[in-house]
Amino acid sequence: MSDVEKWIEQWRDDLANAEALNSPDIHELESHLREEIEHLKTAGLSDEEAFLLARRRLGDAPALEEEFTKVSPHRRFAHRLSWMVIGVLVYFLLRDLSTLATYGSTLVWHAVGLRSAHVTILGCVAHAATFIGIGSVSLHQASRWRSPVARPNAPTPIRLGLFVACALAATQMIEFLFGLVLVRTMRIEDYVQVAQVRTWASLGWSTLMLILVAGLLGVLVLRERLRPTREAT
Amino acid sequence: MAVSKDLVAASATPLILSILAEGDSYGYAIIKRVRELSGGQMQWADGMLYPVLHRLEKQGLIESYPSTAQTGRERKYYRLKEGGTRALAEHKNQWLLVHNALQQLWEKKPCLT
Repeated sequence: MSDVEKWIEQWRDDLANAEALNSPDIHELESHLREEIEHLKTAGLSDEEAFLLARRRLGDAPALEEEFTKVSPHRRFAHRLSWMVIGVLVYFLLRDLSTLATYGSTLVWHAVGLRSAHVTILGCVAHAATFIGIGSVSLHQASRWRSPVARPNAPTPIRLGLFVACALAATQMIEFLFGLVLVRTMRIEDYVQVAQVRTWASLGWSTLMLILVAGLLGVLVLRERLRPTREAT
Repeated sequence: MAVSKDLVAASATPLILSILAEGDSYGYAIIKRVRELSGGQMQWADGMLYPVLHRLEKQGLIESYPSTAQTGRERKYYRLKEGGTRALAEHKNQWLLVHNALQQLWEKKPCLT
């Protein structure tokens, strides 16, 4: 890949973070940028000079986002809303997967013949380990996620949301069937124990999620207040 | 002498409509035509043209279609719609009115009495 292509890719990545611009907008701007670079190179400028001047003439990402927001003010809101919905769905998916882990581990520990107290503790550990494990992988993947604009084969937020919703539906179905199996195969006092593990784990994670969300909102508010205004810069 | 930002913004719509009245065009060519017509005096940030084009498209004055240039580059072309032709006629009348008013004022001979 030539230097110009790398610079254009970087420029595209920067623009992809602007919520008011969609993929066709960025492709249109990229086409303009490439034409301008070619024109400037014909005029005798080096690759780097041509790219820098063309980029400057096109305008920086915040200014472009501001102008595009005037035309499609709803786009930014829709973009944020879609990610909020995905976040909620992922949380429910994690919670249901953790519950499945609790059921599974309880069955195993009962089969092994462990004492009730140990089963409760190990059920909670399985729940937490699943939640933290899959949650960490999800967060890691989310941090590496690049917009479909920057990487054409990346899933769009809508596709991602549909995928998570389907996974959630499937998990809930398995959880329901698993519950039926447990009710039929376990003694009532053992099943009550499973239900207790689930209740405590859910309560713990709901509290933790509240703290996390409150912390996240606090950080966002703080960042917004500390960010210098565009006029000042 | 560079044209003020306010005037550039106010004249953007009639300029774009007038350029499209000459024939279908795409963003880069429109910018080049504006530079050519103004002798480089109208300083548009190139990227600001596109939101204006999209707004005009939303208003139903112009429409876009994809086309591939001889070089193989894909471009988004814009063409004037019937509503755009009417809007251009209105803009033309208004700008001529302002132009005539200013011209009369500036060509008026000074009163010596």
